[in-house]
Amino acid sequence: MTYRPGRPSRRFLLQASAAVGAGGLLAACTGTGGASGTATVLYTAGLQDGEPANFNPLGWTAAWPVGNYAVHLYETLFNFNLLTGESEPLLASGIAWEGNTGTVTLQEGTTWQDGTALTSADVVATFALGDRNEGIAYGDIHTYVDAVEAPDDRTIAFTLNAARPQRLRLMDLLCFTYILPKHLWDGVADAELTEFANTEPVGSGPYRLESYTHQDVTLARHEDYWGAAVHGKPVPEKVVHATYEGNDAANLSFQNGDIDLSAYFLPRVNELWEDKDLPVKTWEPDAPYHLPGSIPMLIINTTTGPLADARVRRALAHAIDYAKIAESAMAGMSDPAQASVILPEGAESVHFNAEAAAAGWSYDPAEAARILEEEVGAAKGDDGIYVLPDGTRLGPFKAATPQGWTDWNAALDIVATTATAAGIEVATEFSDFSEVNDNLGNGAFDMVLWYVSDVAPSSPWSRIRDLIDDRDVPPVGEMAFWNFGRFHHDDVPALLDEAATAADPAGATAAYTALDDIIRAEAPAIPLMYRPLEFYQFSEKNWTGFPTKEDPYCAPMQGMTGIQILSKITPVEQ
Amino acid sequence: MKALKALPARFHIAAAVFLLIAAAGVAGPLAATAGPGDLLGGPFVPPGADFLLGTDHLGRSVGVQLVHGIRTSLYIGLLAGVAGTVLGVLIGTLAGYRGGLADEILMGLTNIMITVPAIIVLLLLSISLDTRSVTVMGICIGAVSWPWTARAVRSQIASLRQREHVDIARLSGSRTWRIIAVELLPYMMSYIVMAFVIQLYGAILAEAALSLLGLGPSGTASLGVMLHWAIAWESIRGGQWWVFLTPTVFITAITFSLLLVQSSLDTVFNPRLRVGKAAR
Repeated sequence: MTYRPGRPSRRFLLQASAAVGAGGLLAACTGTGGASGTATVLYTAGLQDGEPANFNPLGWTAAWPVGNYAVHLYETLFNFNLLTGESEPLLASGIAWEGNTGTVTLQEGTTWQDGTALTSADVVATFALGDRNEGIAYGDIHTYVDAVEAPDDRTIAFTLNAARPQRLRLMDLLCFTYILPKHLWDGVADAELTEFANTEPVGSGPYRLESYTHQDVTLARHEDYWGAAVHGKPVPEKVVHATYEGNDAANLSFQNGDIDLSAYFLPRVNELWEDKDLPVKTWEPDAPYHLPGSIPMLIINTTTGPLADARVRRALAHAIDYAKIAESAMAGMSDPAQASVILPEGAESVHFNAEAAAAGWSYDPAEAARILEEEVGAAKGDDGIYVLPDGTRLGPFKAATPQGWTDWNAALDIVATTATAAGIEVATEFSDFSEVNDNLGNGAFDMVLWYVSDVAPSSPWSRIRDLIDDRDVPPVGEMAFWNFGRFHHDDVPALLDEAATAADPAGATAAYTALDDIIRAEAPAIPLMYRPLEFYQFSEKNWTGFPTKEDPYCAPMQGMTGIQILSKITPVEQ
Repeated sequence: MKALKALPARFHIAAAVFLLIAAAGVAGPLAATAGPGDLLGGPFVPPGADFLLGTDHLGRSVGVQLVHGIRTSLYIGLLAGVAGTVLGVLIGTLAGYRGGLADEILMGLTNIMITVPAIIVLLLLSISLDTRSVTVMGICIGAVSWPWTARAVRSQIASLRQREHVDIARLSGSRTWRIIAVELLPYMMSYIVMAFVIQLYGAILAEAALSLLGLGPSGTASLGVMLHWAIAWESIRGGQWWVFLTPTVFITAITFSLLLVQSSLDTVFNPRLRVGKAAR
């Protein structure tokens, strides 16, 4: 953990091992960057913990660059842009809608890394994999897609279920499903599909998997990349993703300049350029430094006890110091959370209604006291905690989140402190992830700080559904997969369907605002802070030209449109 | 008084250090105007006029947390020390005095407990228990720390019970418990006191170790919990020395002073270590 200047840096060791791995002399002569010559290797970190187990996109434990939204190796049909909310062309050049049928056209010349042509048959076969093994994540495709057909070599027609024409969810699928080569995956037995280690993956992307160890995953540029003309030819010859034991080791490495692009949570990142004068930057030089991409939610169990009363929940929402959470728990890397479950920046900002959000709750203990005293009729006990007219004391309520999620732990500590001071006693409980997860699904909790639906083509629809739609949600005691608080409101299903099928964005926004108003009135869940989808800090010691808020050519992340970083950066002259 | 004078100077220094820290732990929380969880200032304010020891990642006063932390650590230490010592003396005495099958069984159990690393048992206990209260934690630590005491007590009792005054007591019809309480234990008091001191600082260290790993008492300030958050928020890399140095210094001071007290007592009670006498 301590820095010892006498030791060779990690970058050096990695280069040495990469050079040896690449065949000794040749690699050593061309120079892999660092002290001599200009950089040809981009070092990244933060998306892979521990030794890579497999590279199977159909399983659940695939190592980077499979998963994490990365499109270095396997590509998706569309690439979701976190900044604009657009689904940009990747393998596909576009989608044309005609009623409930969306016809996707492939780009010209799409080719697998082994030289085979990538055609619509590969796309159809990929989506048919879900029929061969039910463990595959997108196996539920048939609940809203009736047919996936290939009229010819370059086009694929997706016919939606007329009863549930969910274009948003189809776009999620087209943006996040890796297209796999039919000629290779046909040879894998059905039962093996999710278990297959796939250690020599063949994709269609600009990088091939070169090697992997417990310390790093190395990708080498695929020189014959089909998309070089459309998407640009990547600059780094290699991309090395280093793995670390923990945040502090990784952040120290980044601080020492051994890592060029890092996705680790790095508290007080601004100190690196303000105090230490390092060539380090993030999305923007001022707080919150990162682009928000998800909203950790304090989900409240609305079925039992005083918290079943919407007025008590709303009082609680007024008793949380959001500015303090942003300043301390998020170390300044978030704006104070507003009373809305829609992200005010990036892709969702078109649906964000600032006026409505401002009319919702804010940190105001006096208002919390007014609601409890005047609306509920509660009285403050001798210990400073309110007691309801029927004698029920407000708390102690348990607020849980997994141990080790440091910023989440700190946010709950602040909730506990400010809510208790306002007269609603909250005690934190940090335990094992699976325990929190089980309790949440079964409804055995008072409140849990949890993640709900990141930014995606379907958000904020998917987020609102996951928070308050109680269709198909089992009662307390059985495992639920969304609406953990078992919130019910008569208007929600119709409004959600309206938002999903709205003819224009304005119509969707109106429905979203109505749904957001229900949440503001009843507080079944309280947004506590904004978190980026991926933390994004880069060092300009070896490479420059990363996207920033001033030069937003793609989203600030390594996955999704972040792939464009690789064709835009240039090595620094040493 | 004469016995006190016979003690080396380091005893007095160490005892004074420990008592000062203990006094801070007892009086500090009462004197402090704010609670350990109160958000008083900005995150990571360095030590200065506003905050004597600075603030932590949430803007809580490190000084206020420290006095509460000392209190928690001492409470856990005392609880675990008493529990561990009582259990150890009880089991050791029973085994040593009864001998035979009881001895075999109890010492078998003791040896098993000694071979299983206490920290692993503690980890498993902390994960499996629903509650993370300070009291439960103290009892858990006490419940795994008795074996060495039991073994030492057993061997001493086994030799003590051969003494003539014990035989006389037995012949005169005294009950077992009376013999143990009156004829045996008083001879062991010096050892028991030292064992208790060892248990005390062992328990404070065990609490720090568990809390450091994130298994500490929830909702309470303790020295180990302070260290846990100092590491979790990377204050070492960030240079916020006051956050991690404060609990470290105090954990070290408490345990080291207790160790010195114990070893000084040893030089008085243990005839082989007595200084200034040609006893050997």
